[in-house]
Amino acid sequence: MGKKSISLMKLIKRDKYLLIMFAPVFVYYVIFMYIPMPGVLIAFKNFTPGHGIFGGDWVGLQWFAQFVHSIYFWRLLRNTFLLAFLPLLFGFGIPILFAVCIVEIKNQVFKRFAQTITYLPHFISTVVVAGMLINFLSPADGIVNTLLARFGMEKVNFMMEAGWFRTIFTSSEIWQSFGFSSIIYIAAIMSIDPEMYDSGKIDGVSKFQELWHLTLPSIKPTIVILLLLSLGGIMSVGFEKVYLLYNGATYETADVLSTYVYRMGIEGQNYGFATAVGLFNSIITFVLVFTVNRITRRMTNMSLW
Amino acid sequence: MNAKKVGKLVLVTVLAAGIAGCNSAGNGAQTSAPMEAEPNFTYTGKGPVTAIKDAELSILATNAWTTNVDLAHAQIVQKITDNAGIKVNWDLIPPQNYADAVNPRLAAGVDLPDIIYMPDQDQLMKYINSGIVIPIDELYEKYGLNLKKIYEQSPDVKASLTTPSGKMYYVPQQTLTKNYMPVFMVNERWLQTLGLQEPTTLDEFTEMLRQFKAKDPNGNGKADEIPMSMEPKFLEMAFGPVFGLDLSNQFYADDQGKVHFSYNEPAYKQYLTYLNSLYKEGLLGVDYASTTSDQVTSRISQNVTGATFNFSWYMSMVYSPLFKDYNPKEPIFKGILPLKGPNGDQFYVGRTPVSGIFGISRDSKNPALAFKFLDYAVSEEAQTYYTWGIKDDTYTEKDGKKQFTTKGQDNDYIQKLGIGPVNLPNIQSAESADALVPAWHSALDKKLESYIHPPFPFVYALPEEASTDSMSMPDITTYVEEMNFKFVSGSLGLDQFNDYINTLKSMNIDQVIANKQAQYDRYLAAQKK
Amino acid sequence: MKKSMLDSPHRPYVNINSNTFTTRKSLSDRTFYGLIYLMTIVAIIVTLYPFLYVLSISFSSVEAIDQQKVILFPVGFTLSGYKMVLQYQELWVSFYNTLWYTVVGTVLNILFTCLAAFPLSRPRFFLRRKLNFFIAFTMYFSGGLIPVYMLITSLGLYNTRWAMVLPVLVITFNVMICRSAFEGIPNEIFESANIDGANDITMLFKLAIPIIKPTLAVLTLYYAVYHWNNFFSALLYLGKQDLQPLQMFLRRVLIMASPEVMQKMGGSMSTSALAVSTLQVRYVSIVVSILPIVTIYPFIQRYFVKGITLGAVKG
Repeated sequence: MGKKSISLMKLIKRDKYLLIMFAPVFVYYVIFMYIPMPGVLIAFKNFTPGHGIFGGDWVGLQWFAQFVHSIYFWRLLRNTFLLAFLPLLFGFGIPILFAVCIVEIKNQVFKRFAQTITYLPHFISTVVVAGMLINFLSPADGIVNTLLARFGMEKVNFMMEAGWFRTIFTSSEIWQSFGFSSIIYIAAIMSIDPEMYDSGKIDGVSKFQELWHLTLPSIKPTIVILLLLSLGGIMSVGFEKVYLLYNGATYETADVLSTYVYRMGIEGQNYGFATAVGLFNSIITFVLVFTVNRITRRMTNMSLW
Repeated sequence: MNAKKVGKLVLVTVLAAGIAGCNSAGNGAQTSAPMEAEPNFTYTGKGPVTAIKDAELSILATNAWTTNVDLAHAQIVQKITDNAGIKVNWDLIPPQNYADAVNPRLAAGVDLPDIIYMPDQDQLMKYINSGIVIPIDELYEKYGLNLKKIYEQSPDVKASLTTPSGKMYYVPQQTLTKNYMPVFMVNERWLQTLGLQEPTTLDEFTEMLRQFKAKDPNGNGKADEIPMSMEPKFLEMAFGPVFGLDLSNQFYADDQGKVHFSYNEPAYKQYLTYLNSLYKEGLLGVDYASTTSDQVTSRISQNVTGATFNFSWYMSMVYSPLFKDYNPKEPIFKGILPLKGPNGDQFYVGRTPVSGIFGISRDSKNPALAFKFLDYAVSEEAQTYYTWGIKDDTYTEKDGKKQFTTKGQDNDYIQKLGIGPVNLPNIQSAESADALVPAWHSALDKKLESYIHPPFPFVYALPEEASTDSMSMPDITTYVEEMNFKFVSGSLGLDQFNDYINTLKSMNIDQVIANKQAQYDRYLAAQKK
Repeated sequence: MKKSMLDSPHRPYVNINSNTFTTRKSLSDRTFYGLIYLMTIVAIIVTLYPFLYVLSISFSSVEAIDQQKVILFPVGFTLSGYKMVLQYQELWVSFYNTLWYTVVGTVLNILFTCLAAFPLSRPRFFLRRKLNFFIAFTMYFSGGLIPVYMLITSLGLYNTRWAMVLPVLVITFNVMICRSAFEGIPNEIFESANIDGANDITMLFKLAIPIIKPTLAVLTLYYAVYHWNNFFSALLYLGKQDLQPLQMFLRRVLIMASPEVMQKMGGSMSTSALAVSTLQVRYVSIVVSILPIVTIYPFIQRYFVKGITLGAVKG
C-alpha cells in the first residue's frame, strides 16, 4: 500500500537481516544452478577440452539431428517412458491397499511390526538394492536360480535377458517404495471423520462395503494429487537404478535417456551430443510437469508454485 | 522497480563474471612452451636430469592394478625419481576408473599437472587439437637421448606417434608385442585322465569340451564339471582368430592390405554360429557373460573347470600353483597352440607396442624438465629397474646374466616394490619374464611366437575421419555389443544376420572402414620413409 | 441392541471396533480381515526375506554356501566372513567418508534451508515474490548434467570432499516445506518479539527454529538419508578411491564383483581367502553397510511418520 513510496534504500535497511540471511543461499543458487544454465549452449557447439563453454565451433542443431536420426531414438523414449510408467501402473494401488491393511489391523504390536519392516526398504540405498538383485538373480550362486534348480527347472540368467529387465526393475521399485508410500495414505485414512463409520455400522455394512463406499472415496483427493504428482515425473527415470542394473545385453529394454546421456557424455566424452539429449529430455519433462500442474490446479486449487 | 533493476544487475554481473571465469580457462594458446634453459647443465641421458635443487614435477597417472600396492611409495619408483634428481608429486588413481576420473579434468583443462598419463591413446587427436598437451618435437631433438635410441630400434613406434602433420606429442609406455600373449589353457591332468591329446583344431577342442562335461574327469562321481570358464572379454579374443577375425581390436588388415571391420564379416557369422551351438549344448554356460576373474580362479582351484583363456603368465604364476601338489616342472594348466579354424586360420592376436602415453600439459612451468624426466624414464638404466627390480635384492647379475633371487620370485613382494610400474613409461621385457617363469612356460612362449599376428596398428586420425568416427562409432559399438549377446544366446536367430549387416550399413560403417583404410595406408607409407 | 447405543448424535466417540456391539462377525467381514492379515503377512515376508537371507549367508560356512544349502537360516555358523571384511581397511575409510559427507552435508543443508526459507516466509519482505520465483525456477530449468559437471570441475572441486556437499547445499522442495512451516507460526509470536527489540536473526534462531523442530527433524532425516545413500555425485566427482563413500565401495564389491577384499587379505590363494566364499564377502558387506541405518531407524520412525502425517494433513 505504502510500498511504492518507500525507497529502495529504506527497504534494504529494514530487511537487512533477511537479506544477509538469504545472501549465502543466493550465492549458492547463482553458482550451482544459474551459471550452468548457459551451459546448454554446449548442445549447440562442438566442445573442445579446456576451452570452456564458449570455445569450440558452433554446430547448430547437428547433435539434435544426430540424436533424432539415431536408431536408438525411439527406443530410448520408449524405455524412459515405460520404466517410469510401469512402476506407477502396477505399483500405484499397492500402497493404498497396504495402508488399508495397516489401519484395519487391531493388534498394535503386529501393526507396529509390519510398519517398521515395510518402511525399511525405502531407506536402503540404490546400490544395496541393486547389489542384492544382481546377486540373488545370479546364475552361478544366486538364491533364485538355486531354488529353480531344486525344483528341477533350468537356471535363467535374468540380468542378461532384456525380456526380464522391466519386470525386475518394476518389481524392485514397488518393493522398495510401497511401505513408505503408504504413510501418506495411512494419514489420510486416519483423518477421515469417524462419525462416517458410525453411520455405516448402524446400517450394518460389511467391511468390504465400508472400504469401497466410505474409505476410498474419502481419500480420493489424496490419491488424485499423488497420482498427478507422479505423472509429472514420468520422463525422469532414476538414473542410478538403471545404471547399476543394466548391461550390454539389456540395453534394448533398459537403456533410458539419462543412461544414454551418461554413456555418451561422461564415458564417451561426446559432451555436445550428450547435452543435446539431456536438453531434449528436460524439455519433455518440463512440458509434462507444466501440463500436469495445470490440470492439478484446475482440479484442486493447489499448485506447485 | 528499483529493486528489480538492482536485482537484475547483480544477476547479470555475477553470471558474466562466472562465465568469464569459465572461459579464461580456455585461453591457453597452443604455442610451444618456452623452454627453461639450464646453460650450466648437460643432460647425458643418464640421471640426474637437472642441476636445480628441489626440482619438482607433478604427475597424474594410474596406480597399480594390484589393489594393495601404492606406486607413489614403491621403492622402484623412488629409485627412478632419486636417480633423476627430482621430487615427484604423484596423483595416482586406480586404473579401473582412471578414464572416468581424468576425462573431466582434461575437459575442464584447469590446473593440469606437468605430466599426464592420458586416459586413452588420443587416436582422434582430441587432446592434441585442444592444445592441452604441448608438441615435444623441439624437446625431443634437444633432450631425447634415450627416446631416440628406442625409436631407432622401433621405427614403427615413432611412426605411430607422429601426427599426419609430422609432430610428436607423447612419450610412449611400451609392452611386449609377441610374447606372453593371451592364450587358450587346458587342464593337462584332465586330458590325461580321459586319454585325450591337446586339441589342435576347433573341432577337436569342441569334442574335448564335450568329454569334459560328460566323462567326469575330476573323478569325484559328480557331473559338476564346467568345461570352459573365462571372463567374457576374452571370449572374442579366444575364438575370433579361429575364424580369422580380430574382434577385440575391431579392425584388422588382411594380407593384401585391405582393412576389415571384424563384426561386419561373413566369418563373423560363422563365429556366432559356433558360439551359439556351444551355448545350446551347454558347453558355454548360461552365465558366460557375467563370469568374473575370481570366479574363474575359484573354479580352477576347486578343479571343476578344464579350459580357459587368459594372459599367458597366469598358467604358471596363478592357475597351476592353485593345485596343492603342483610341481613347478610339470604344468597342470598349460597353454596350447592356437586352434586351427574351419577356414585354415591359426593364430593368436598380439598387441601394439604402445600400451599408454604420457603427455606434457600446457600448464607445465618447466616442460624441458618434464621431458628430460620422461626421457630418463625410458633409458636402459630405468628399464632394468622396471623389469628386474633392485640389484642384489630381487635379482643378481653374474657375467652379464641376470637371475631373480627368491625374494624376486615372490610375486607379492615384487609387486609391492613396484615392478613394471604403470605410472611410468615402462617397457616390458621378455627376457625378465623368461627368467621368472618355469622352463616349460618360456619354452612354450617361444614356440608360440610364430603364431602371433600383429594387430591393427595405432594411427592418428585426420579431423574429418575423427568427426565421422565420433559420430558413428558410439552407436555402432552399442549395436554390435547388443546383437552379439542376442545371436550367441539364441534370442535372435542367425537367419537375421543379413538384417544385422544391413543395419550396420545404414549406420555408416562403410565410411568408417574407408577412413581406417586411409589411416592404414598412411601408416604403411610412413614406415617406408 | 445396536440402535440403543448409537442413537444419540452427541455421544462422545466410541470405539466402533469394540466387541460390545459386534457379537458375531459376518462371513464377509471375517473374509475381509482374513485377507487383510494375509496381505500384511505377505508384505512382511516379501520385505523381510531378502534381508534374512543376506544375514544368513553372512554367517554360514563356505561349504554350505558353495553347495547352496542356505535358504533361510545360516548353515554352519561362522564369523570368518565378518573377520575378513571388517579387517579390510578401505571399508572403514569409506565408512568414515560417508559419515563425513552425511554429517557435514546435513548440517549445512539444514542451515541453508532455514536461511533460505525464513526470509521467504516473511510477508513484508520486499524481495519475497522475486526470490521465490528465483528458486522455484531452478526446479524446472537446469543446465543439465554436463554443464554442472564442467562447472564443478572448473571450480577445482573435482576429487575434493566439497564436491559431495556443495552442489547439493539446498533442495528447493525442502525449502518450500520449511517455508510453509515458518509461515504456519502465528504472527503474534514475532510481533511480541519485535516489541522486545529482537531483530530477524534472533527471531529465526531463537524463536522460529525451535518451534518448527518436528519439520526440521523430518528434513534432517531426508537430507541425512540422501547423503548416506548418495552414490551418483561420488561416481561423477570422486576419482580418488580414498575419498569415496561407502556406496562406491559397495558398488565395487557387489556389482562390479571387485576381488579387492580378498586380494588385500593375501590374494585368492591364501588360506584365509579360501575359507571365505566371494558371495559371502559381498553379503557381509551389505549387512555391515545397512547396519547403522537398520539400528537407528526404528527409533526415529515415529518422528518421521508424525512429520509426514502433519505435512499430508496440512497439504
